Amino acid sequence: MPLRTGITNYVDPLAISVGGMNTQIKVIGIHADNVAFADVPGYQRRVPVSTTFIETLAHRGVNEVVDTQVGRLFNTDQPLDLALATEGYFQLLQADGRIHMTRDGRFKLDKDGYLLSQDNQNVLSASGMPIQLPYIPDSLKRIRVEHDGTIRIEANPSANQPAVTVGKIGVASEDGNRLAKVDIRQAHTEHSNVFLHEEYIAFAVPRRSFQANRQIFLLQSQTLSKVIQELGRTQ
Amino acid sequence: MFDAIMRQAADASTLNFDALDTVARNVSNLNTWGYKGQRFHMYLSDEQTVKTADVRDMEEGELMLTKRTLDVGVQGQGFIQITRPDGETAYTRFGSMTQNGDGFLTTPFGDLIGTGIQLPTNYHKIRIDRQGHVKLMEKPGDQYRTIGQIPLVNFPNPAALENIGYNSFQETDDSGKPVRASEATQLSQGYLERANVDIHLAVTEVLRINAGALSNLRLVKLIDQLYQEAVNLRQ
Repeated sequence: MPLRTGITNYVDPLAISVGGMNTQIKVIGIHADNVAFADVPGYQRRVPVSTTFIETLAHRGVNEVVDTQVGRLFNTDQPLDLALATEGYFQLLQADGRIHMTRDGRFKLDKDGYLLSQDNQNVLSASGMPIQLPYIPDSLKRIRVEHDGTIRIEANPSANQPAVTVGKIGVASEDGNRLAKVDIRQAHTEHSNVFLHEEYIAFAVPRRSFQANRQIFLLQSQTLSKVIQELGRTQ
Repeated sequence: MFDAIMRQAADASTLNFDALDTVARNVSNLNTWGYKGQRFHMYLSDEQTVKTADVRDMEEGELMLTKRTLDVGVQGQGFIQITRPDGETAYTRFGSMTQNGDGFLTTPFGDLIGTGIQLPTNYHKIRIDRQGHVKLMEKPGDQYRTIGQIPLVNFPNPAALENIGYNSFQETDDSGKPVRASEATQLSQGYLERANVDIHLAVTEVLRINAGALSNLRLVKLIDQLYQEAVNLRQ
């Protein structure tokens, strides 16, 4: 392959075919990820991106980008299931102090009133502090989350529990900046934005491309063996 | 590469079967009094692997009229404290009571209600009020006399209680200490609480999980074909 500087970059044609096959497997692997995680709430599908330049120089150079389209929202009747109807991420505080971002809003409370993820990580508020309820209401249905993320507990006079406003759930963009305009839906869960049939349609192209590369490899291999066998042979 | 994709698809289908298992357990307990359904949660961990958690849904089931005088249904969040035959304290929402040979009120499995409420052999009528007071009328026309109270308690985090079988639960570190239930928790005589399982939800879940399992298994087949083509490069 001639490069722009006038130098010819010679790559073994057999290696190009094998590299092409590898690239297509990598692409299939990304779609396979989507199929395997299709049932995980809050998962965002990955889309493979490859360019001819990267493909030629390094067959492992397939990149993936995250599809940020909002997935389907389901009603769950659980007051602590929150779903983001806009782009953005909930922020979770990990044990080592780093912040983990997720769109999976199925939270729970511990006995001290902290709002936790399924993995027992603290959910952060808009001011960056772990969210803690002053008391746990006798029914979780008394916890209300507004569309902007404000958490309130409704009063229950018979149980001597007053109405309080707890704080606001923090929602951040992909690069960690706080988002001002959000739409949080209580008692909903966001399913992944993977559509299984689309993934299986997407398999078709890399699959045929893999087979095409394989055919070219076989063709070259046959030609080579013919050359080796018949070179120098006199009739 | 191939093995990684295949292993992931196989693992994902195993999780699909685990999810089916939870749904099946819920459906088979549809007619178990006081049963609390479980939800199978799949979530992505920080390492982008799928983890699972079984979460008990502590929402109230509906109360059903049984007209039996020794049946009590718990309204609102809360548990009846019982003493198991080995002396340990446990908690249940299954309020179908019987009497043992000494006249003590027990659960059908022989656990004492509270620390023991003894009924005389002869009485005319028994009444259990909303706060759990057990009242007796000895002869027709007499006044009701209180002979004991069914203890009602609540936990800061009831979802973390440990299920010990026989429709009852035991406290754990995560559930917190039991406290006396407020007036929001009441008993209804002549009623029992049904399981809080939503059969319609179970059906839609089965359909979704089935689609996931099938697509993951199909993925294994597809990768297997590619694997075979890659291995048979030499012809």
